[in-house]
Amino acid sequence: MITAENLTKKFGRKEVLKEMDFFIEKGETVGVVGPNGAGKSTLLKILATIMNGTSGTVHIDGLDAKKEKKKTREKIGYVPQEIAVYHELTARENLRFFGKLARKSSEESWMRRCEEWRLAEHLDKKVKHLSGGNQRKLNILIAMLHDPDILILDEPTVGIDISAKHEIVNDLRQLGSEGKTILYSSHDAQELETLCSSFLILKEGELLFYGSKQKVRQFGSVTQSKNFAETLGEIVG
Amino acid sequence: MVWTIAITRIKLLLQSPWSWIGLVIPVLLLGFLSMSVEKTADATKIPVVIVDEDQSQYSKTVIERVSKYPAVAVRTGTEEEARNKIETQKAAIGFLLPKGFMENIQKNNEDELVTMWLSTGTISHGLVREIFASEVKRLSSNSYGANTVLNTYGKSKKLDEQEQAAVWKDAWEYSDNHWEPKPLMTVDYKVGATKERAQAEESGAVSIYVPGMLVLLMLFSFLWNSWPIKDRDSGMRARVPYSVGGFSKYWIGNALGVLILQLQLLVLFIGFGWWKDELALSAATIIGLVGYVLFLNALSLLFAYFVHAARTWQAVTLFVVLASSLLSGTFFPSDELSQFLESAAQWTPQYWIISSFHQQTLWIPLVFIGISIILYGLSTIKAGDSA
Repeated sequence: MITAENLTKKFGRKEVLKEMDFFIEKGETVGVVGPNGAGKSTLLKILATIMNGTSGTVHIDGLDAKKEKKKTREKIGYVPQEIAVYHELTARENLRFFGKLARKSSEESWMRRCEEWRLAEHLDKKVKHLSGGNQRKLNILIAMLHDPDILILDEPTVGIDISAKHEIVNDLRQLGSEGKTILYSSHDAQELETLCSSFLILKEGELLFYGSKQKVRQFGSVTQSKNFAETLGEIVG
Repeated sequence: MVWTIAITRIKLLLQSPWSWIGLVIPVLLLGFLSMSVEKTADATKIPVVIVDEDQSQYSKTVIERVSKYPAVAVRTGTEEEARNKIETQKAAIGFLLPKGFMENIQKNNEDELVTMWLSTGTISHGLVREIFASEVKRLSSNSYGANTVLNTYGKSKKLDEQEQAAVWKDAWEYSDNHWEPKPLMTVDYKVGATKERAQAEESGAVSIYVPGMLVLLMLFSFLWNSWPIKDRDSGMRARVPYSVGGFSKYWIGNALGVLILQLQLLVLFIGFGWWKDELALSAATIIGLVGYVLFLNALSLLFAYFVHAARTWQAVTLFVVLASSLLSGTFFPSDELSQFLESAAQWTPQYWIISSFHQQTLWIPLVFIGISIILYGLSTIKAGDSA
């Protein structure tokens, strides 16, 4: 589904991604993990076609992400780290606005999703008056308006309380069970453990580890880590 | 797609009630200021009160002619009102034209014909006394001339009553015409001053409506075009182009939204200016203003690309609006400035739009539109590259 080959990104002289190779299967939920400055956001932006790699290739469902951006974007929903919506408008107005831009979206489909995600009752509130959790939900729902096969989320639960985080993680799990491929970056190990089936672990632009949750746990038993968070920490070093 | 973005931008700009007020207030404020300036100009004139007991053609002529002097503000009233105004120093000087004023002038009985009251606190009555005396003298001289002609000419020719009246009138008018100054040359108003200014100079008051309108149009263009900075902070500058499938649609769509609002503001300005007689309307003026607004939209958009913080944008807005308005000769002719500043004025849009009003030409608006297209292209490419 997603293939990266020799993917490198440089900002000036600084190499932020170093010759990365990986293949993500369809329907996988992949946690993108690493300390700050590891290159997580840059990698996600390149996969989402927002940014181009300096060298190497990325293919999304057989499409060259650099050369066939428009077609590739139809397959991807990208959720930025910021709550990128119009805060002065209501949630409904935002959904309608992005729905019109996405063209493929129908009000019926996003209304159903809003009901499933318990956002329907808040649709007529201005975004600035919504709770942090509901703002984050809206941020994700907007990325899904065109019903993409792949969802790329860059720290989508930053700054919200635990119960809202749980809700979002459960909602995303439901999406995973619907067959969506999800790339999810976060610093919350518990969240990652609950949601993800495999992990891409980065450090200083290098791909340290790519494998299933099972493999991470195996690594943990070798290092006798107490929990998942500690294991991830051990891998990053 | 572009239209959806434009409509959403308008919605965003008009979200709060303040935004709606923001559309109307500048127009009303400018209208109010414009009227205040006229009133202030009136307040700087010497207040004169005249009591017309004669209510004749001559007394009315004197009042009318004195009123035309830019240095005086004439009010008429009864003797009691006039005395009251003088005592309370609301008038600097008062005149009473008694019954028989016209008749006495025609008979050349000028001695102690007019009663004059002076307010104790003023020193400006000398000028008004001169003006008033010269107007009375003018009528008296005309009558004296007409009487002399009739006495000399009429006796020798033995004219009937009707012919006598015609000769008297001719002589009177001939004499009166000599009081009207005939300029040896005509004065063309300087480029850089508005028509309103030229008209206002005649009446002694300076209208600030057109200059104020140009400044406010520029100010609102910059205020409304702060969206690229806000969108960058909120992540929308990346997200909307991503959703719409291209940066140019996002950029131009938002610019179009702001432009529609600017044009709405322009319509209000033009409507109010036309209603209050502050703006002489013609096709060239309207096209000129539309070109000016388009140029401001494109210019502020390009500036917004370079600025990254809301506070910096406020400073840029203030600087551009103030500097260009002061330099451009909008409020005073640019040729009163030093040569360097005079040439700098030619780099401001206000200078050119005012020139366009004077010349009633279409080439300046067309140049505005041409430059706007280039600026739109530049900002779209530059901002698209960095998005």
